[in-house]
Amino acid sequence: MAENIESKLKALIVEDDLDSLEILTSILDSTGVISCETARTGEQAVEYFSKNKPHITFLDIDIPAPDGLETLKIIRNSDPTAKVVMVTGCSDISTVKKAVSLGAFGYVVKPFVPAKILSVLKKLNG
Amino acid sequence: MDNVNQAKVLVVDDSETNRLLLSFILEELEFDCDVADNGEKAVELALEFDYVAVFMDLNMPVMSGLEATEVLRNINFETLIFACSAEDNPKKIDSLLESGFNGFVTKPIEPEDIRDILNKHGVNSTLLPSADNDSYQKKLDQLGNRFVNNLPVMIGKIEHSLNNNTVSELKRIAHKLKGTASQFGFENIAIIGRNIESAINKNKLPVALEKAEFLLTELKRIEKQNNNWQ
Repeated sequence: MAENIESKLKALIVEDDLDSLEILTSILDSTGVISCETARTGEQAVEYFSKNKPHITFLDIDIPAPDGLETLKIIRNSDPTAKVVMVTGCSDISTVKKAVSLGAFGYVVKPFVPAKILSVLKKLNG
Repeated sequence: MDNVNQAKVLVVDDSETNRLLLSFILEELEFDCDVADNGEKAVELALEFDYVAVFMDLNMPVMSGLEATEVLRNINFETLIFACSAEDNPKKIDSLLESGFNGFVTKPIEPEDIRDILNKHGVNSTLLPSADNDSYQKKLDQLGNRFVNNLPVMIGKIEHSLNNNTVSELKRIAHKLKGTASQFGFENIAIIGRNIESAINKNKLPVALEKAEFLLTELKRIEKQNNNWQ
């Protein structure tokens, strides 16, 4: 278990729903190697990202402006290597295709299942 | 938590006969099968549900099996995907494996081919007990309690939105329930939430309102049950 916060992976969770935020934080915390920061809006996410460059960002699509897809675009434009996992209640194909075209690293549909989140994390090193 | 212990497999083929045949084989092997008839539906289902494997036909309308697999692999979808095709050119089969498929089953499909490829990849029809850790489970319990305790407020908001025709509020609540209710063991509430949101998105307001009334009934039932236990 990594005790030193400096040695942990930095994750940003962008989510305006409190329950979803707590569940995802709890899954990431349970790994013991990830420290989570949170943002509630696209604007906060972009600001946090540019200052802190998290290793991975979990980005809800349905958030206050700019929405998740627009935020993904802004983040990837500023850093083409950014690893952004879209989290959403919707697997609508047009949204999935848009996320792929904008360079999303992963796409997780709620409800959150720890195994799905952890399998995306494993890909971070791959 | 529900008692489902059968692993789910997704069968994707535009031919109904092939879907029925493959589903039959997989159900005989005690898998729980979902089906899709094109690649787009396959991507949507694969992301939404938890499958141990996907059997994917290649030539399909709307979106081919290869395109669907590429979309899924682009977003680091890790589940096993097996291509099903009458293709017998070894070079083409090799290129499929390079495109993200984990294996290949030749049509016409024989039950032993399915059994062999699943065995080879260590897929079992019985799900293992969840390895989720205690702190995660505690968090879910805690949030589940909060969900139930908050039901009167939510019921009030739904009634308010129905009385005042504020569809945006109803949609917001439905969206939230779709995303989180099943996490707390209320699968039916999540499904009703999904149906309401989908009806609103398709401008089918009467359908949405009818389902919202049903949602209210279900939430009140859970609330009453909760009160009886306390």
